[in-house]
Amino acid sequence: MKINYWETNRYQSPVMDFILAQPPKAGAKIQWVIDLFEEQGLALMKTKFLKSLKGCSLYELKVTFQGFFYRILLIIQSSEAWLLSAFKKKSNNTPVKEIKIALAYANTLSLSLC
Amino acid sequence: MQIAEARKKLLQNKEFKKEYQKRSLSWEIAKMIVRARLMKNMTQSKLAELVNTQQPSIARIESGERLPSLAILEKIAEAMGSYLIPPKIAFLDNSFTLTTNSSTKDFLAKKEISNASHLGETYTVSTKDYSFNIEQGRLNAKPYLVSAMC
Repeated sequence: MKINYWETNRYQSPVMDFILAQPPKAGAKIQWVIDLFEEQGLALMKTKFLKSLKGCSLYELKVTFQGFFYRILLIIQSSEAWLLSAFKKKSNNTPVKEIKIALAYANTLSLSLC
Repeated sequence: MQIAEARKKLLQNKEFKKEYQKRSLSWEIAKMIVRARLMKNMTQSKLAELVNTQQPSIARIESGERLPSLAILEKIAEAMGSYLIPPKIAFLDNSFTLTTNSSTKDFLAKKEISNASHLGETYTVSTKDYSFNIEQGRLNAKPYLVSAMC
């Protein structure tokens, strides 16, 4: 699977900033899961690392580390993945706010969503 | 930004680099089991059934949170119709290759040089010379070779 980190106009990637903002070991684990996703692609749906969200072609990567839960929202289109945004999980459902942020980022990519 | 470029940028951060390159053992084992299970096209519950455990325990190993026991790893390998390569300590592996090199080749080389200097001649030792008949060797008058063999 080809993986891209989504960037703003100023070449800043929200996912990369998030990884660096976490404790180093947690950041390393997040990157490790991304590496695994690069290797296995959509077959990772059979593990608990990757899950598709209802509706649009939005997916989330699930990372567990020492009792903390991290989520990365991404979009997959024509065997290319775009890592959009990341956050630390606190509630049982994926917050609508985060989904809206991710979709706003995805709209800048000029992909055909939904 | 592509993943290779992103990884390079992340590794510029020293603390991140240290943790990322440490290759935590439980993560590596988790990766190995995920790869193997996806290759065999098994579900977690089917694998758990073959290994005689519960599905959540397989999920826990795959998450990389816990280090599984070697007994369970062996069972998993057997369930997939394979076997487990025993792990080894890294420095043992390196020193082993060093000692075999130094003990055999260098030993013979030293013997040869010391004897040859005594004779004031240099010979190249080929493998054929070691399997020679002793009587023939005496006739050929190469005493240094006999001493190297002892």
